[in-house]
Amino acid sequence: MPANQLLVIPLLLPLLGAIISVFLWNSIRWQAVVVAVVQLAFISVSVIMLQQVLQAGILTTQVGNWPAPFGISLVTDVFSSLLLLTTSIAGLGVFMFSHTALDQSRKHFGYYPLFLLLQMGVSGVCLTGDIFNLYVWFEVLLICCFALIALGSRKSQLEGALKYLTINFVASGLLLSGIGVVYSLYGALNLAELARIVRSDHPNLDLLLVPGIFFLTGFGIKAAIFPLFFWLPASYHAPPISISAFVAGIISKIGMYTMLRLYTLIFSIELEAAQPLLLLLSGLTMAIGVVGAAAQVDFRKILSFHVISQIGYMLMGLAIYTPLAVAGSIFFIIHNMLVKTNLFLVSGVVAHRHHSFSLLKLGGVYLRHPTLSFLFLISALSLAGLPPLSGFWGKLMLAKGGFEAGHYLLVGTSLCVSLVTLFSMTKIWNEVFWKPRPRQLKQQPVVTGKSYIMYLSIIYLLVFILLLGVSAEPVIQMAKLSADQLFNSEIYIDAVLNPERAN
Amino acid sequence: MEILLPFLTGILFSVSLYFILHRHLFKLILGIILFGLATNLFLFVVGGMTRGGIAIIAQGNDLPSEPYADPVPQALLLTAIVIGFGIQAFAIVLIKRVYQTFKSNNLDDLNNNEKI
Amino acid sequence: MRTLIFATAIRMLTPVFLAFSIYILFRGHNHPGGGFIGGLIGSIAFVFHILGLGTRQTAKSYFSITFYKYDRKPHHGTIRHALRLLRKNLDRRKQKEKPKSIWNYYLLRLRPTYLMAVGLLVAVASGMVGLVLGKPFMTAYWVEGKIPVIGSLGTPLMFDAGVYLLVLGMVLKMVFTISKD
Repeated sequence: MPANQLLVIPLLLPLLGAIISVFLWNSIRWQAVVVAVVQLAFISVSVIMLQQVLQAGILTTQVGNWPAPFGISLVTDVFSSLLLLTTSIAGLGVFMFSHTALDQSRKHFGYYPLFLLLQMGVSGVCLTGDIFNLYVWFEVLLICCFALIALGSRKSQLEGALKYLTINFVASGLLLSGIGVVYSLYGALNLAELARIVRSDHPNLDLLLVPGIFFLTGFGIKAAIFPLFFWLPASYHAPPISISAFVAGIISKIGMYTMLRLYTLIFSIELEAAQPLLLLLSGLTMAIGVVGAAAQVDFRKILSFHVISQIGYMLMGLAIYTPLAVAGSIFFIIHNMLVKTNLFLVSGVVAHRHHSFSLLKLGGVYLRHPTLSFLFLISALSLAGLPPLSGFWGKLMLAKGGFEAGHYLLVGTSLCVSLVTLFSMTKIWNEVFWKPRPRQLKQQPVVTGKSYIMYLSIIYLLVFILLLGVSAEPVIQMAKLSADQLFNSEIYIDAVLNPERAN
Repeated sequence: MEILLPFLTGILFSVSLYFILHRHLFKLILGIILFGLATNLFLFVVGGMTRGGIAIIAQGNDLPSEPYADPVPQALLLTAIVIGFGIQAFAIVLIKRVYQTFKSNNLDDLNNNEKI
Repeated sequence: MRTLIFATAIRMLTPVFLAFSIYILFRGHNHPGGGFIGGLIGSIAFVFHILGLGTRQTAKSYFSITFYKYDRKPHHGTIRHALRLLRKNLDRRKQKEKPKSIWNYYLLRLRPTYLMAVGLLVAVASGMVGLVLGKPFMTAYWVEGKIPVIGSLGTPLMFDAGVYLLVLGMVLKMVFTISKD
């Protein structure tokens, strides 16, 4: 099989896995085996793909064998391969955790097939080279998200799912309208073809702002950017921890990935006009996220608000728009996917041991479970960005990029927000792990399962987080390489549209 | 006729947003369905409306006979309808489940049901 | 809606609807039609059946099948045993006799979810043909020659058939979920 055909494997693997696990509907054990096999295969395919991309440059394939601007292209560059690898690593961790922690009834109602279809949606968004297919994959991903959040039909879950569904449906409508406008203006849907048109002297070039605003609002809702983030903390804390870890850790960053892709490839010209707006939005998103987190007393809600704050950091790279800052954003996305997933899993273990997510009812965890406290501390400090942990390098690149471009105010904000994040993490540390255990009545367990597998999944993710921090250099190089590829869109255009390279 | 359609799209969008913002659950269903319709209509209108034939090339010709309608917005529309159908189906099932669980069709009753 | 006339009529009309939906599926290559529309029409057949006769009856007559079996008696030969099983499962099925004590039966249920999975599998398989033959995923292959009503056969038709099953399964899943109280 030629290297280009590798591109469909990340889509086919989860899909076939989902189909097989539907056929094994009554036997959860075999479903779990299928999912485990798919996860391992997914990781190895992602590694091979990253290797190929680093060696041979951008890979493309034309689904259906129609030539590029007319057919459906699948494209992968260093950025998307890196992202796929990260999601697959986090996916295995979440799978290990959910295998033991998720209750049987949710598994009976199709948790595993939905999880795999969600992963298919993620790889679809990462790999597609066509703006309409981007929308389609986003919808695949969202329907699975809706179903996962509502799975089990607890009251808070239904409420969260309803909010999530309504707001995201409106966002999808905006995206679709934007795509319609793009097609009516430029007559193309292929990302590379659009990028080529935008860099030529097309008569409709002045109107690029219109679809740009549509996409900014649509992805702004999906990625939870400042004025449009209210649905996120309302829905992410509701489902069981295995589901909310994956949704909060992975899905919220996918919107950011698409924004980075589209705004470097297509709307880069319009970006100069929008830059003050983006700078403002990123600063406000960061600040509002941590301020919201400071007011919460639920472990999961604090983490959900931090998701918003970190989206602000990712947006910061795009707003500064220099290669270094975008590379910082990319590094930050990778770091955040792993760390955020891990923190959610830690909160799950705490709830497993101490039967609550509330900071008021928890306490004295350090006394009883020092290992767990240690695991939390590393992840939390990494999130806050203390050297030499992984969060530090992302923030360093962002800050350096910001200083070089002269956006001192934004860099100052981001450093202050870092400090507040640290405060917020110490608040969790004080309330959950350090303070004396409050006297309480006996409670029902919130999370059940074997604890050694839970610890295993957390340690597994932590190994990658530590690697990302201690030996950050190769990943930083790859992030810089992907930022270069994003900025030199001629490479992308050539890889997709040149018939000799696209098989 | 063509001048009417943008206005119709606007009316549909505003009506659907009104329904989505309404606190009644059934109106939420209506709002979601109407919003999907409005988006589809917008896609159709913005894609350019041509009074013409189908874009199938007759045997022996190189190009379809003018005037022909652009098939791409139609294809997009069809896909969007299918996806919208899936989401709306899910939304209806979800909203019915919400109604059964909360025994209420008022969105305000959903708040703060679970004390931390 | 559960009147006698409607119920009787719908019992006869459901197969007609289904046949029509399959016709729509096949004509979708060059004319309006195809997997999605065909699947919707096919599901309308079942929706009407549910309206006329109730969910349980629909599930019983279209989505489940009973297999009878019993342990072979020592004085029955293998062939006789097999023949009796066959007869029981083929022509005695319609007689509403209660299974006697020696007869056991399996109930095989076809869940709408399985229908969706089969549809997805068929659609993916149609794409895999190209992949196996060394071309990009979903490259179309057609069989030479035309068949009167159906038209030409090929992987796009297979894909459409997958979509047909997927849509059918999805609508049925939704209707069964909603009508269950």
